[in-house]
Amino acid sequence: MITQSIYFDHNATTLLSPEALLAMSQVYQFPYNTSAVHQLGNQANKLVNEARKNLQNLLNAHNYEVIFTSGSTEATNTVFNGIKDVSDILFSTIEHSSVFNCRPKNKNIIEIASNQQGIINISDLQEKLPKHSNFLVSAMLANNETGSIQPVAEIAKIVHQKSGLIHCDIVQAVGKIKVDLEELNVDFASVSAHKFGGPQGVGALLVRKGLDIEPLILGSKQEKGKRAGSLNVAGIVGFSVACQQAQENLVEFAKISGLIDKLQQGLKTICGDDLQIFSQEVPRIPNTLFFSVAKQNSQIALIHCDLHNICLSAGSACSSGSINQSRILKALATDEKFWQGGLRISLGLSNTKEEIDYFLNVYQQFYKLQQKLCQ
Amino acid sequence: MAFSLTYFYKLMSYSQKLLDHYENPRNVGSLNDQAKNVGTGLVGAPACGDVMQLQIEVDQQSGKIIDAKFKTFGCGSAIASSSLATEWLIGKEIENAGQITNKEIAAELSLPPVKIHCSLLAEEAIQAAIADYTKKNAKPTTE
Amino acid sequence: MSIKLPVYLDYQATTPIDPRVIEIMLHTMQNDFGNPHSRSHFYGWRAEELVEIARKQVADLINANEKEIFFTSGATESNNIALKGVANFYKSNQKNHIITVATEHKCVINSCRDLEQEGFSVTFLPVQKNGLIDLEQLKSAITPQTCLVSVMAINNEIGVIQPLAEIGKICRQHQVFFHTDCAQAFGKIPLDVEAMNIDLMSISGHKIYGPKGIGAIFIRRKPRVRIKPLFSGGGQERGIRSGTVPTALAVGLGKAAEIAKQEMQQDYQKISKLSQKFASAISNLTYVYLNGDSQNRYAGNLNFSFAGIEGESMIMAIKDLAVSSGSACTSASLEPSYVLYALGVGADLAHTSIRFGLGRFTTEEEIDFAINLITSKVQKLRNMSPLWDMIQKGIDLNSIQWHSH
Repeated sequence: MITQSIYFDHNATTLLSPEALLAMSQVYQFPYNTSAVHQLGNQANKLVNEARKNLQNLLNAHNYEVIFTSGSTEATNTVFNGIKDVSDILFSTIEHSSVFNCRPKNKNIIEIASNQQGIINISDLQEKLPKHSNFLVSAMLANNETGSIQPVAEIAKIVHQKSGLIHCDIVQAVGKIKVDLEELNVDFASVSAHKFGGPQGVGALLVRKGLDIEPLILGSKQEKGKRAGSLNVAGIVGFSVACQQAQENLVEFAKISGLIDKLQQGLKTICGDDLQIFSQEVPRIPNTLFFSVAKQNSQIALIHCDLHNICLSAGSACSSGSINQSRILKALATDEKFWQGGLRISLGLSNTKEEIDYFLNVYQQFYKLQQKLCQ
Repeated sequence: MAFSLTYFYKLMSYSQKLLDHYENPRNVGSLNDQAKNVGTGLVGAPACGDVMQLQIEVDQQSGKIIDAKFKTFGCGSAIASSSLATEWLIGKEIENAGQITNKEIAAELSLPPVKIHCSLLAEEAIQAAIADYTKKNAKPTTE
Repeated sequence: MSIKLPVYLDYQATTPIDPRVIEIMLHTMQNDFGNPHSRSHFYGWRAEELVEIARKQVADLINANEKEIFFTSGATESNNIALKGVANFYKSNQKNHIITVATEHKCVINSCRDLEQEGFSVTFLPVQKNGLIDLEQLKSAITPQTCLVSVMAINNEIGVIQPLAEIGKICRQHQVFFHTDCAQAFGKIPLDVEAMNIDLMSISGHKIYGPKGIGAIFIRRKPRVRIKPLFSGGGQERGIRSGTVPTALAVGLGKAAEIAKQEMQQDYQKISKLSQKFASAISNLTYVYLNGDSQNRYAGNLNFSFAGIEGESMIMAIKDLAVSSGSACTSASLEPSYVLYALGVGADLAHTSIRFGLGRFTTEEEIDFAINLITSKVQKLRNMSPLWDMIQKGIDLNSIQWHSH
């Protein structure tokens, strides 16, 4: 019997893990300050350094510096604004708004097309790469709306062949699939803690050792002068615990694809040809399903779901308040009839088969109702 | 008032010996700087945050340093360096006293790299004290 | 009754979180974990509701409208936004001059230096011996190109309170925006953006018994202050500051602000009483100097120079007290505090300074303990100091030829 809310919006944010919560509550008992001369400073530094190691272990990033930030938006802004000797920044239309809308005045921004599977169009990228080597390409690993996984290692190869640099938004991939920065061979990566069981308000920028960037937030010399401001020790500790757990839970997390398959089957049965599931032909992170139904209005669908205690979204949280539909939906959906109906389901370890069944039941009601009304 | 993280992490890792000399400094005090058998060295500057006064009392018969005293305005490393210096000086012959090097002091106390200059100052203080004693006791040249 | 050691006297560096704030934050993290920008479900709406409540709580403390409060990751970020944001927005109108003070926090000073690199001109006003700015100097520094004056309310090192209302009046008369870094002042002294003509204000969570990782910036709507945002992205906080607003942290800041509003008076009275007891006992040690004006100051911040004793050795001696020092040894650059330098405190005395910070949870027992400890250690260290002998003999240390390496 489903009595509580069913949360299918894990890509927007996740519940803070109980272990992370416990660790943070212990840290909150003391006025830790990494800049202090006294004992509490020493202890705070130990906790922060441990967090750094846990993040590096999770991402196989021992050859990268970790700069703690307030989140991934700040991390990305720091790279785009602070990168030296770069005149052009290239990214595709599927990028998250923290990348897509980050257009520093002193850089030339080049948009790259994406294909119908929600993946960057590699030939368009190759064509638009500048002749010189002072460029940065930003290519996300997993898309937050469709879950599609981009061939970042391949993109990195192309970029490095031209002596350029590559930034990768790995926010949606961390904790969901194995992320190996050495293998991907990227130069910068942005991470956000609250997308995989850590707290909101903390993230990190990873910078390959040997590369230098100007800080965005100036002031005292925290984070080796790369990011000023007192470190959010408790938040970083929560982040640290989430990293350890993500490592342990990867195998379990992969099994969520079973629930996604069940969902897809169920939706196909209900909607038949009216259904379009996006990014079906490319690898996806195991928990995400982005779909649309002909003539469906996603806002109404969401209200219906909410009345039945089901939490979904119509796409990125960042854009969910705006009237414009998901930016990438138009690129993904061939037919106009799908443009208003985008819905995203993003599952977590807490979701169950019963919840999927309940959703399909609820959705079937909604679909039938819509059919009647559209007659 | 923002401080370097790595620096202070090291700061709190002062060695046991250093901490011991800091908590229980040996030979704090002063000798009569007017006495002929006392050599006084005063080095450093308040503006730099380090001032060491090191004094030796020499038994003029044997040429041995029979007492040494120090007073230091400075950080924990500076205090420990000068305390250790007085400990090593007592019992040495004045000719050999000048052989004490900052490297030995730094090694004995396991001084963090950023505090090496404290041991240098201690070495300078020893040299200054010896020089002062020597000057006071210079045999007039017979013409 | 036993005291917990070390006794925490470093309230300017950071504050312990008030248990009431911890409670509500932990509750929020467990139950109201939604992304406040998720518009499609209860978790998102609930998170948004909580963020808006917090916003109002922050606004109420400074007599602002909640629409003028934007959440950031802390006062450092807020200062960066204020300075770079205003400067970069208004430079197209030939407004490329900024006035600030030599004793501002590093995030203000470094942001200004950065702007200088980009072609802005910055005037760093000196301070008087008491740490306060000279209002006449401020007036004469203003030019038709000036777009912003930035003066912190309470100085973090020495605790002096600048004349905010007078500065605000001058700025308004000259139609220049007034920004004040209130990291140390918010929740501790009464602040009123209307009465003081403040246009921008930086706020820090962890300086008022709230969590780290959150702060806010007040940006006036009438007359409107425009800024060029520091972060671009999802457009949160009306585009002023992109990035997911961390619900629990915002709730924590709001709660801390609410508590501060209710308890400001009683906190202030208690801290003043303890501060006076402490200050008079320490002054009795002789040759101890309070840095910064004795009247226009926040009682919870006492920065003393102890002649004859070097700061780091003092901190080690009083290690049962958690404090900060202005000594070079305790600074990354091996230079003594630039704030004390701006006051004209000589390098030798700057090396001897210790900052004692009192706060909401400081007890009289802790103060008594601190007084006793400091008294005994000061005696011990002075007995070991060659300078102390000289000071007592009345020798002017500046008259001696020092042999420094």
